[in-house]
Amino acid sequence: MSTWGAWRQAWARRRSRLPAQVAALARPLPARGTRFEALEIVVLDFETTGLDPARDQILSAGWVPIERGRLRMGGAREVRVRPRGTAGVGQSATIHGLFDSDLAQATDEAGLLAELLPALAGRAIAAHAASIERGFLRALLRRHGGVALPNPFIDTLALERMLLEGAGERIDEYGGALMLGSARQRRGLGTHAQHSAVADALACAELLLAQVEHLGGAARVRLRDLD
Amino acid sequence: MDSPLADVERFLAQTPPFDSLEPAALRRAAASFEAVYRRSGTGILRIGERNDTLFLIRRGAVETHDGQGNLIGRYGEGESFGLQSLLGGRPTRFRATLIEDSLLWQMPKADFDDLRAGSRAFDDFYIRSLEERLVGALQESAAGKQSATLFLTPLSELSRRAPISVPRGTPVVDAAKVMSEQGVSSLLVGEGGEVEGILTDRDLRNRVLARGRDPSTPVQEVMTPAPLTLDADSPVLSGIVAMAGRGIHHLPLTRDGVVVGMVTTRDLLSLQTHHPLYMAAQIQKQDTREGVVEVCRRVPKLFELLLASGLRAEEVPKVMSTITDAVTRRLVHLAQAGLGPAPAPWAWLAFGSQAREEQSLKTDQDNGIVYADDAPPDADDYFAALARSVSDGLDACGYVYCPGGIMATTPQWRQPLSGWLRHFAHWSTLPDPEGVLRVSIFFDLRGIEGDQALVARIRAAMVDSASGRGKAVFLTALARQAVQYEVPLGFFRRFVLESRGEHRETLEIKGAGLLPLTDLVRVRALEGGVTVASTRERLAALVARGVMSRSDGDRLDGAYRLLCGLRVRLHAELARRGEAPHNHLDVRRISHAERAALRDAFLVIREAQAALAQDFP
Repeated sequence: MSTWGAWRQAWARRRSRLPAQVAALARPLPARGTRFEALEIVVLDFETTGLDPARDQILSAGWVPIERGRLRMGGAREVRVRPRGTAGVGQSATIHGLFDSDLAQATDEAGLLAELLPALAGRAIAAHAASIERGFLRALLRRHGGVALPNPFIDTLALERMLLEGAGERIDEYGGALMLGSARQRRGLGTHAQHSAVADALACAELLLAQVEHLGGAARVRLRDLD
Repeated sequence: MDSPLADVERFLAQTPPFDSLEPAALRRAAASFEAVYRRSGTGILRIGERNDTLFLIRRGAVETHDGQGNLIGRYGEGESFGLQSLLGGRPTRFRATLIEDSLLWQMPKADFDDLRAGSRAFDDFYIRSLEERLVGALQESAAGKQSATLFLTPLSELSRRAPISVPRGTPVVDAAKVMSEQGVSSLLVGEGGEVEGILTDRDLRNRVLARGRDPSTPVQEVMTPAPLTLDADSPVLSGIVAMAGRGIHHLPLTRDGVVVGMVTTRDLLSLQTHHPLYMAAQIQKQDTREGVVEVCRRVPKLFELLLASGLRAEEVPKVMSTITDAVTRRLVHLAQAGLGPAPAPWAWLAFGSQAREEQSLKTDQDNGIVYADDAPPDADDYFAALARSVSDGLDACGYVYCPGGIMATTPQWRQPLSGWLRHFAHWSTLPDPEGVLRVSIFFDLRGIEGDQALVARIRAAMVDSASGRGKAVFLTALARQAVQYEVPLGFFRRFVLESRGEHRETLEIKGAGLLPLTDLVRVRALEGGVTVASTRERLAALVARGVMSRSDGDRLDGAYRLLCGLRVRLHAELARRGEAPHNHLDVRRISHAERAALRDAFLVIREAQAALAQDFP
């Protein structure tokens, strides 16, 4: 790990008041020169009530690991979260299809952190339009005494833009050219049914594998090429 | 909560052999996969390498080649490759290369072995031999339809018409009007598919007219309430038992509690007239050509019912040919009743598909006449008249005139024995595949009526023409013709499907499979001195004579049965929809297992073609 990365991890570990995070931060994070084939990644997707991390809530988190350049399906997980307070799911149900009744058996935010933080320990985190997952994670951790994650983030949307720009293609970003479905179609992965956080995480993980192959392959691409 | 891998499990549940796994095992299988993405051109397996991974193609396509660069197989979505090395633990014999950017799912051998140990059906899929798989695919699709008796036909097959019903409260006079307008002898009372009662002709007679009741009496006062109903899928046999035992003549059919049809005693009686034995007997009984034509109108229905009754699809063409034979014989007898007896020994010959006993619905006539060399000089006039009469009769019965004129009415195909021997002697010297293609139909030959000794002489000449000095030239030309067909090795993508016209995205199974198969079996039969005409009998004879190995014979037989069966099912489906029969199979509409078996069948044919090309360079 780079000195800066190590310093940042150590700082986060000292500042966090969240025992689960402190434990997770004991595991060193991957150095930026690590090749993809040696990299441990968690591909993450949140279903939320909206786009504002300060006000909106995570309803469901899905993730799946990539190890040795392979998507390990057995590691796929989904955790549903009961919203804080009495607001409920509200209008957002029309987007993610999760209704209050679905969340009756769900855990709370602390329960999500207890499962998610060990899964993220020592790994890079990937997501499509990763700033959303990043923002919600930061807000969530702060509410529970933790600090922002020092883990490297990989954004498959940014990678898709980079690949298209590299190929000299015009990008119709507002027409949805960088959406997960369009990017998957472009890489021959087909559409995917947007119906759960873990399905989206799997879809995103497959896209990342395809992007890495198009960038030169798991043996040549390094973390610094991706984050 | 749902399994996090619900999508993965859903895909596997549609993919053989994973579709045979119990839910718990399916869940384990899904979790033991790892996915990788590789670009087109990437090598996945090298020859000589050991393989301890099950590869399942999620997206993309793979080709395998042998050491000489020959294409061995092409695999697409939902298919596996490299199985032989995985199962046998031997080094890989073929190299596997991606021909598209692909998403591959990989399962370690240990997990794969666990699944095989835990599920007999899953294991069977991999350990069954090629020929077992070929035949298995068809049988599984007809699962539960074991017996070949029409008594097991589902009742719903007999009733095509939607049941007619009137609501409770309808005056009897209005009900009677509906029955009269619709031409039915019974009416259901009830709404929304429910059967409250039934009103029959007999009820109108006995309970209304005979008792002098008012025509405005509500129908429920004279109907038979809560009549017996049967499930639409019950066999005909249950219908007969139910109706005979209770003395009833009308039986409403229901599905999920909703009435979907009605069967009458009359329908049950008409069923037996579609039995092939009954039909053949009926044909024999007809005293006029018009009578034979009339019976032949029921042939399409016979075709449909044969399949529905559980006869194996691949047996249907043989039954159809039996009917054609009976029609031909009857027409010959009727013609001779007018013309008088033949002036010399003679025989009616059938060529092509009738000779091979593989007729389907749409079939033209291919026939000829042979007569004794010592026939009187004017004998041909008699046989010309006979040929005209029979050929016209066949055309009227639905076996249309041969567009190429291969009929006994053509002088060239109405010859004394010496004329036929000259034909075959000439054909045996034909050097070019096109010439051979034109005459190959005559090498499938069967005597339908008349003197079988004459037929035997022609068949002997046929074998001589192939095995004598003509062998080198003729058989080679015939073999070249047989290996010319491009047999598709994979058909999951556009590249081997027809890409334009109304049959887009379909596979022409006759040209792509049946023709090359019958052609190459014909070459082997002639080479081996086998004179029978049907493809399956040829194979059996070749194996019995030790000319062909049992495993080769079984494989080709399996491929033949599969292709034949799929073709029959396609034709039956088209007939049900009222469309003209064709051979363009929509591969999206057959099961995964059938698709896999179809690929195996093409592989078998291709291997046989390769062997033929080697034997006749």
